[in-house]
Amino acid sequence: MVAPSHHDAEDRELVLRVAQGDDDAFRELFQRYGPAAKALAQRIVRQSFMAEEISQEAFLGLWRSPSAYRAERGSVRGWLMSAVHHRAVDYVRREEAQRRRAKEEADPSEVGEDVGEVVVDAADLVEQRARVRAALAEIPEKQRRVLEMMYYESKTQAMIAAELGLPLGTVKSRTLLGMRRLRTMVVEVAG
Amino acid sequence: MNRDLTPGHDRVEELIVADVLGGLDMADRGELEATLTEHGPDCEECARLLAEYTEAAAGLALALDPAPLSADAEDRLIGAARANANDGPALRLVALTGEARDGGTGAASPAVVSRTRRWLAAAAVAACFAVGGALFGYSLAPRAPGGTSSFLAFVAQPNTRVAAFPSAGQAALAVAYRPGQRQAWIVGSSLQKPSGGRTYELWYQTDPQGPMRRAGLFQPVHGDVVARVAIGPDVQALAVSIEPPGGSDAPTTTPVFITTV
Repeated sequence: MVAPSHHDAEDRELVLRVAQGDDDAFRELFQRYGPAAKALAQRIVRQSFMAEEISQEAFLGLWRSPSAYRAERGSVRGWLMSAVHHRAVDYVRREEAQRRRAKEEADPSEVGEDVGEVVVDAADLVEQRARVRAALAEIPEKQRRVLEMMYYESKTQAMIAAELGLPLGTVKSRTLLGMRRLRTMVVEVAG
Repeated sequence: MNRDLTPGHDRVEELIVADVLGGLDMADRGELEATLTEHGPDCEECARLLAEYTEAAAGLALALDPAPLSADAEDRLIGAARANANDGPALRLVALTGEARDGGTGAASPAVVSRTRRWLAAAAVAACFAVGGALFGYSLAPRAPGGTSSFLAFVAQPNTRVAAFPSAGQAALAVAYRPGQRQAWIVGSSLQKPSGGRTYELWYQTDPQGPMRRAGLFQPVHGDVVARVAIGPDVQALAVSIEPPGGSDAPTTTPVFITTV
């Protein structure tokens, strides 16, 4: 199983306090992971305002149902990022369906919003970012590309196969091999 | 280096990997749901794969540079949370007795805590189904935890109605609501816990041709649930589906409970 880190233990304590209605603890969790959540949502939906709404909804999901998070299933931040990612992908797929009908394009200027602003991040998050980026650089480019298309561009394996002109089995294989490498390099495993 | 998987988990691993990345189509998602259900919530291998790959996917999220939040983002979030703050004394009591008191380790709760929770849920279901009759929670177990007062007070009002879902096996589930009001409660017993970290989500519909709208998430604790939800004032139908962690903006699976109001 995933070994809990010192910071994860702190996060779990915050969730326990959230479960008791402690909005200071809720605020602290948002301060800690809100910028990362928005960054993820923004990378996927390409709209700053909607990205913030999506990330807030994910946090509110934790507030409304704190028991939805179970410690044995991983870290609090893993749960939060999963919730944000899922909502962002849902949004994009609904919007794409409408866009196919309206043939509208997202305003490219939205993507560039906030450039130049610096977010001061917690030291452990800075360290983890560096570690994950180093890990990604070690993953073969063909595998990394599939992971990025799936995770950041909300594409299914079938879509990726069609776009890259690959057999579906090849896409699945690259996905699995890439994630196995990422898991090995990123996840601290207990025992 | 790859771990040796216990038999039957090669395909599970392949599906979980794609699922945490958001890359599964509906057919594969259905296969994953069915397989996780078949293996059961106590399958250690499934749990390990879900936890580790969820963390790996979270790494992809945290690899991005953080995005600056708008100046009022925090205040808006806290405001929204406080608007839901009565999002359950009963719900928080269930969460407290289940997860908080055992330190969130997932260990079994003490027997007295378990009995308290079971009383709460059983009382809530009984009270809910007794609406319209002569008996409410007053006649039930005398050692009522303080957190039950909000729900029982809600149910006790004369204009409270109950929409009971047709029973699915031993599971009982109902929504107590008042026409014209958003605040409602969902209560249930003998509910199976969704596998793979998924959650139940309640939906409501105000127009037979309209969309299903979000009403709230809930998780059974030892099969029982008492949770505050928010439905539309002119609700005509209710449904419950199983969704990924954090819920969805629209049902992504076929509802497991559905009823008209």
